Amino acid sequence: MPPATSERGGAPPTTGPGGHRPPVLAFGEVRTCLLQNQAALSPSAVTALVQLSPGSPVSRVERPVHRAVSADLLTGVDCGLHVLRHGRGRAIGTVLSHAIVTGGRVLQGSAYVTLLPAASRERQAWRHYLRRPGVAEIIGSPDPDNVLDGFLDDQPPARGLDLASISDRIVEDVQQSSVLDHGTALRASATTTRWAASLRPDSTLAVGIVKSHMTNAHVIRLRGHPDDLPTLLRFCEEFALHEWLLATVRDVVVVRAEHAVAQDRDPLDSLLFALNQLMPLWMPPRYLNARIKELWDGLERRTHYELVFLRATERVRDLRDQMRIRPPRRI
Amino acid sequence: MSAVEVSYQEATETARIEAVPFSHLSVETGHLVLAQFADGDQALIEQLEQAGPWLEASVKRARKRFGRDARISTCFLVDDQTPWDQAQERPKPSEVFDLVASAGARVGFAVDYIACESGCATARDRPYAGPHDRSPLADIVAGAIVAEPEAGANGSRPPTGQSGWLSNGRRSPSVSVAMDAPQWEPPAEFGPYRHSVFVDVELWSTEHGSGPDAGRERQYSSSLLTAVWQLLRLGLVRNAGRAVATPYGFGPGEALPDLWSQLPSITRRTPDAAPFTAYLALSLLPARYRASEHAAEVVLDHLRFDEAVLVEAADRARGEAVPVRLPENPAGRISHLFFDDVHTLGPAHDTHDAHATRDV
Repeated sequence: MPPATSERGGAPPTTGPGGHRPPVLAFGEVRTCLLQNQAALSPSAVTALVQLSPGSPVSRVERPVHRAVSADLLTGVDCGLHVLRHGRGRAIGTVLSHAIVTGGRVLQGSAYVTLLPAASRERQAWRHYLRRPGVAEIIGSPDPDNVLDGFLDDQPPARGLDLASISDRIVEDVQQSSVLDHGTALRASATTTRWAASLRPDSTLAVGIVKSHMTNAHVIRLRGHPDDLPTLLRFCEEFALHEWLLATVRDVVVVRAEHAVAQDRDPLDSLLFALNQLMPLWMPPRYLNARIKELWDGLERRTHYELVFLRATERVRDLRDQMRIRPPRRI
Repeated sequence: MSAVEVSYQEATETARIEAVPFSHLSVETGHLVLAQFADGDQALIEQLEQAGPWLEASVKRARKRFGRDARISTCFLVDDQTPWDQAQERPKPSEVFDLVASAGARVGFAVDYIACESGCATARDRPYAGPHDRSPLADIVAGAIVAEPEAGANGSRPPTGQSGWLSNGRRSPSVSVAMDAPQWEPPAEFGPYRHSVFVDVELWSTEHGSGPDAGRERQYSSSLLTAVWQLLRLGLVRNAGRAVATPYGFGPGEALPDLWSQLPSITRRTPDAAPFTAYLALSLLPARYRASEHAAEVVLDHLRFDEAVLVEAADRARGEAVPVRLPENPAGRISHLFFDDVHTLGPAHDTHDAHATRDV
């Protein structure tokens, strides 16, 4: 049993030959909402918006939809894990988080961390953890499945890693920016997507999505090879974006418009907002690579997401056309 | 049906990291406050004389380690930020540069690069730099600091750090004035150490004045600026991927600006000097700089580095004629030598006796 503390100047703590061991688990949380701005933001304004720390690079693409991603921020953590069933563990390291803006309209805060067993039983000097950003080392040897279930099961206030708060803070930071006019183009809720992946070299890709009993919340359980991590992260962020689009168009715009029609009020503004601003953002990420295409095709087979969205789009157009034929009497 | 291989990429998706040239060794031969130039070259010569033999030794050692063609450059940092007595006139850059050149010639080496500390706060890539040639270096480095979490930090709250301060441990809880005798609790350094060396570094202060910007303008401490300076020497700072504070060489007919704030961050004085940035950075300094150099190391220990920038430097080092392996921790590329403050009084045994006997 090694001593709990050591004298300075002794042999430096060794990480062993496994200093770059692959992660065994990855956890994340994505918060999705509408940017608080009346008009869609121009690409240059979006770049300024997501430069969260000075001098950090912003990654952006124009096609198929404009998407800008901030550089990752690091948040240090040293906390007990919420482990289901039995076992205990302490995670020390850094959580990554970034902001994503799609089409100058939709904002996402995405926080994620990968976990692997620590080589040492004690906390190391901080630069040891900074060497591998986004990695937290687990002291103790809880069963990875129990750690994964514990993370997905954790409710606020979090007892283990609180990625929800970290992704929320990213969203809050961006929404407070002076680049925005803080206007509300459409009253729409934010959604959360929590995900956890078990990573093993012999794993095949698998994804399981559960719509939570809480409103606007989804839980995704994934399996894959450690090298799949970037694909899994992107899949979850894209799922969160498309789920938000679907929920906003179908459960907010359409439902409100039907209600307005029944009351003889004019729902045209929000219908046109959905048609002009939100629908062009629907762009399933199949184009990215073969792995993500497999995941998305699988999701599509099981849920008919695109068909559902198409129906919602048709419904929006129907309601718009009805307004032309029989305009509302009350404004 | 035949499969067609198609790829599509956008250049703006991943930031391009601009490469910088590398010497093997950069030697900082001194660091002076501007006021010390007001009384002539005495303080300057004292420093350069102290540095001389160590510079010679380090050059010798570098050639032994990296080969006869080892690239070595020398630099000097002028602190133009320390508050100034208004009654005195500030020495102009041209005056200071001439003093450094003549003092260097006198002690037997050339100072290749002269940098000013204000140029570490805001990088200026050329003289009379406008907003487009400036980079907020201190802001960039301060923004890359990742606070060390206390035990129990799970991300629920933002890092608990005192704004503008960075420590390597848990602070002693503040003791409120209470009726009971307060129980003092010691601060504790994070990490596996049995005994703490707790360091708390002030990174910046904010100006308290009137006006709309009062309390918002950061005055960066020499601890943070020293960290920026060492990072510049190691070639590790970028502004969104761009190299910053690139040394500027004035042409033969080009006059130096009159104000320090119009000077580029780093001025090249030797036209064919080896690159300013280097794999190794050695600082030869008076002992009074020990505290800020230590504080700078605490800052470096809390920085997140751009992996691509580190890899770029490591690859270049490995590709040298004599391959060099850089340590994972950039702070391991920095070394120091602090002078004593002892000066001989008797007739000196070398040619500099005029100066050495001045105090007699």
